This record gives sequence, C-alpha cells and structure tokens, in this order.
Amino acid sequence: MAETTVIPFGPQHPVLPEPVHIDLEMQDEKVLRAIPSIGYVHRGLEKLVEKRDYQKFVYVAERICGICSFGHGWGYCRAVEGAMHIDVPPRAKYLRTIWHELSRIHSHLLWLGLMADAMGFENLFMSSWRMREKILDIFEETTGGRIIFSVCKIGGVRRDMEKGTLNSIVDRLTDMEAELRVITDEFLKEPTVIRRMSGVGVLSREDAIELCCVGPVARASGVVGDMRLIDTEGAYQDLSFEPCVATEGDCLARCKVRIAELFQSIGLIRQAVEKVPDGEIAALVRGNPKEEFFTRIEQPRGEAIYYVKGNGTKFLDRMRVRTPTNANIPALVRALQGCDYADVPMLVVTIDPCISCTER
Amino acid sequence: MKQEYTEIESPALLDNVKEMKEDGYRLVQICCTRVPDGYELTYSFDKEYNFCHLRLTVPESGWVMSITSLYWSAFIYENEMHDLFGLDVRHIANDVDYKGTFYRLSEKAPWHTPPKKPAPPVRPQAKQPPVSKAAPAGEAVKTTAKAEEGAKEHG
Amino acid sequence: MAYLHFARNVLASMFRHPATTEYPLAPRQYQNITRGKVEINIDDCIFCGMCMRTCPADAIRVDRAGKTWEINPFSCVQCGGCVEHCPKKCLKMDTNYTKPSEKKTEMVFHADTPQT
Repeated sequence: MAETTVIPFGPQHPVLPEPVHIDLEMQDEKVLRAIPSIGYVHRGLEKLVEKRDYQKFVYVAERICGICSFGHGWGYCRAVEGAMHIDVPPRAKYLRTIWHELSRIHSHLLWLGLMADAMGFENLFMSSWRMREKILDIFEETTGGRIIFSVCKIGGVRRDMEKGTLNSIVDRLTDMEAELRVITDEFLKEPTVIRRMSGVGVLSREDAIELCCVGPVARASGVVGDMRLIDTEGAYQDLSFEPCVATEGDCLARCKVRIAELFQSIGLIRQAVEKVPDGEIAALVRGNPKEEFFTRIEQPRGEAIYYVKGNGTKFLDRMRVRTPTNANIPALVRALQGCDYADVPMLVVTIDPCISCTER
Repeated sequence: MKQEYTEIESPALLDNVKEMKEDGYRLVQICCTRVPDGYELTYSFDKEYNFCHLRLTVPESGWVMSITSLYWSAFIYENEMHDLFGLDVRHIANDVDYKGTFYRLSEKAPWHTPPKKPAPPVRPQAKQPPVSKAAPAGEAVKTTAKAEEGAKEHG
Repeated sequence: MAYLHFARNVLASMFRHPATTEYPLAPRQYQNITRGKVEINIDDCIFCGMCMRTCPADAIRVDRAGKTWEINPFSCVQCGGCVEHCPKKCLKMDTNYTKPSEKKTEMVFHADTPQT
C-alpha cells in the first residue's frame, strides 16, 4: 500500500473567507480523508449571553458574522419575540424582509466573487464585488452601516425607510440587473468556468438527504426545502416565489441555484416594496423572557436555527445558533473523500463556508 | 406557535431516533444546555417543515450514546458538545471521532461549569452609581467582582 | 469566440472611471446617517446616565456629582443607542470614524470644558 501524506489546508488560504483547518490525508493526488478542525474565530458568544442584557445582546448577535449579520440579528430577535409572545407590527416585518433580501443579494455576490477567485478568474471576482459595493451603499444609506446594520431590535426595527427611499432602491436594483446578467452569464456560459465546476463535488439526492444538508447545497441536489415558504415572521406569506432547485448536485448546479436566488431576491424586494403597509415599526417590550423558543430562518447559506431559553431575569439561560455551514460541514467532509487535490479549494468554497457563524 | 418537546430517557434515545429516521425525518440540530444538575440535550428533527424535538437530561457524571450510527452528520454536534461542555459521548463512528481535537481551545471544556446566578453586566465604576437603578440582591459582593472583571476586561 | 464572452466587460472596465475612491488622495464620502463616532454637546448634558445604561459595550461613564462624561471610543460599537435614548438630545453620531491611535485612550468631557 502506498504511503499517505497529510497536507494541512488552512487556516490561511486565499480562497477562505474565514479560517478553518482541514487535514487532508492524501495518496498521490487523491484525498483519502478530510479531518476538519475549527476554533480560530471562536469568541464564546453563546456564553456571553449570561452576562449581557437580552436586549443589548442583539448587538452581539449581529456581530457573529459579517456576511450574514442581518440574518443573525433578525433570528435572535425572532427567537426572543417568540419566547415573550411579542407581536411584531406588519411594517417592521416587511422592512426586515427587504433588508434580509438585500443581505442575500450581497452574500451571493460575495460568494460568486470568491468562487471566481478560487478558480483564478480575478477579473470576475472584482466585477462581482464591484456590483456588491452598490448594495453596500444602499445599506449605508438606509441603516448607517455597510456590514453591521444595528437596525433590528426586539419588537421591531429601529429605523424606518420612506416610500421615496424604497422606490429608489428598486430603481437601483433594476439598473443593476443588466450588468448582473453579464456577470452571471459568465459563470453559466464561459467554457473554462464550466469545465472547472461541472462534475466536481457531486452530491446525489440520497446523499444530500442522508447528510442532512441545508440551503443551496441541498437544493442543488434536488432536495426542495426553503424555510421562507413557512415563514410567518417576515413578509414571505404575502410574496409569491418558488424555491430555486437544480438536480445535478455538482458545483455548477450550486452556482446556478445561487444565481437564480440572486435574481429571485430582486423580484422579492420589488414585490415587498409595492405591498409594504404603513404603521408602527416597533412593538413595546416589557418584562423578561421566561420560556424557551426555537425559530428557523432561511439565511443566504441555508436554514439557521435560533434557540433561546429564558429564566425570568434579564439574562438568558442559553442562546444557541445552529448555522447552515455547521450543517453542511458533513457534506464537505464526505465530498472531499476521493476528490482530486486541485479540486479541494473549489469544494470548500462551494458549500459557502461561513466559519465565523459556525464557531460563534 | 406552540412548540413541543418530547421527554425521553437516556436508554430509549437510540430507539426514538431510529423511529425518526425510519419516518424520514432530517436531523436539524443537537443542543446542549448546562443545567445545575447535568446537561439538557435537545435533538431537533424536521420533515416537510414539521419541527419536533426530543429532550433528554443527562446527569453530570453520565454519558450519552452517539447517534452517528443512524445519522452520520450528527458527529459535528457531538464533537462540539464533547469539546465545549465535556459531555461524554460514546461510540461516535470511528472515522469522525475527533477525540477532542475538533474545537481548538486553550482550556478543556470551557462551558462545563454551570452558569452562576445571573450577575449584572460589568458597569464601569462611576464615582456615584445611580441610586434609582433596581439592583438584584448581593450588591456588596458585586462591587469587588466588578473591579476584578473591569480590570480583566480592559487588560 | 465562445471563449471571450467577458472581453467586452474587460475592455469597458479599462476605459471606465475606476469604481474605487482614490483614498487617501480623495476623501471618503459618507452618507448622512453613517454611524462613525459619538459626539456630545456637553453644555446640554444633565448627567442622567441613560446613555451609560443603554450602552451595550459599556463604553460610556457618567459621573453625576463630578459632572463628567467619559467615552472610550475604542470600546464603542457605534450602535447609536445612546444617541436614541438621550433625553436632552445632546449626543449625536458623527459620520467620520474614530482616528486610529496607538493607545486606547478615553475622552473625558467636563461640564466646564470649553467646546472646540
């Protein structure tokens, strides 16, 4: 039997947005086994909930990750609102949905850039991120921050967006659509890009179900599941959309799903801006949480679970975030077994790793 | 939205999880909460958006059986529980038992100690603390703890 | 020809104005509501301590008797909570960020300090 070598992947690697360490047991050019190891950005945020007021913890929750920051803030607020039985006003639900869908667009554009960078196509990486800057400008205009918005609070939102602002957001997104098509066509039609992604990291439908994958990773293998369809805390019940699904299960399919979701989000924002009702933007919050509550939210990377357990004081007993990357790591470990060494960066990026979220 | 947690006993864990698997449920997450006399584990499952939970309480010195034989992807949560809480999870599948090296931590099981009685957050020492604030019991103890924690925080 | 889809975009980028700001030669343009750093108009402050209670990062210290208001700008997370909760509206959020510095210093304002 030939010798095996262990090659460390990470924690520093050009394709990784956040540090993760994977030991690759290799034989010649094939990976036999992948052993993940995390903890480089572990900040113990779940433990911090015992020392911070539950209302102030929103600011900590949204700093779990920079890419999915709004999702974490919203998810935490939803969990506490569920535990305290607070009814969020409809306008706040719509505003949160609009910000979340903008967050999804920015996250997918970031991922497209990283995927292009993983292939070495730096021009496409920069073009994707140039479009992303326009979304970040929208965030800065409406919330005051480019990445960390600090706009969600328990009971609603802190800032309002007027009709004029909402319409200008829709106009800007419509202007961006043409150039976005050029960039995304590059991913879907350029022969060199297709050759790098097609057939790599195939995850069959049975595998995706057995490994309990979530998000675009599962949807690209034909498993239909999108938490937005059952979401009652956002505006999704009033908006019409279908989950984006592909069947091939390889990197290219995951790319197609995310690109389709990008354009779907623009459509959702358009619908939400037309239907947004007037009214209050926050409900009054009194007392402390006493119960426990689970909530699910569809983040750009998949289904995220937020669990809070209150004990009647202003400090929570437990706050748990199960992020989509956490659920997709088994799929990564399985996909890496038997793959070529040159495909390892592509596979790691294709599950959209957000290690800050995983480690909290 | 009413959420139900089915309480089960430790020996019945594998049987219950096997039922879930045969019904076609997907494992969503495993949550470990430290309670004063042990650990409270919550196993969450989902099938066609139907969310349900199994709850299991394990004493501090107890152990829990791994469910990787049924759901291979549970190794992520079980390794994490072992590394952060020091919970003894036995019989994790051989190829994914990382034996404490999954989470790179400077101390073993940092979340092992149960949370202390809630203390107020570290407030920087103002010369005249506002009198009208309704403070929980044990104010005298807090002042010294505050100074310590304050020094640690800014250090 | 099928291999050069992106050529048009590349050529256009070469002749377009750069998308990035040529910082530090050109100034960074902030929005009106950018949360940069917290500033106080100390003459209006009544030292009630609401901002200190609201701050999630414990960056503000208020001394009612000594009439001082202190902030550690390097602890501040620019959430804007203090600005929202101030009853006298003497706090505001400036659009420029705190300048980098070698040490984490605190800024102390006394009621008699002349405002610059």
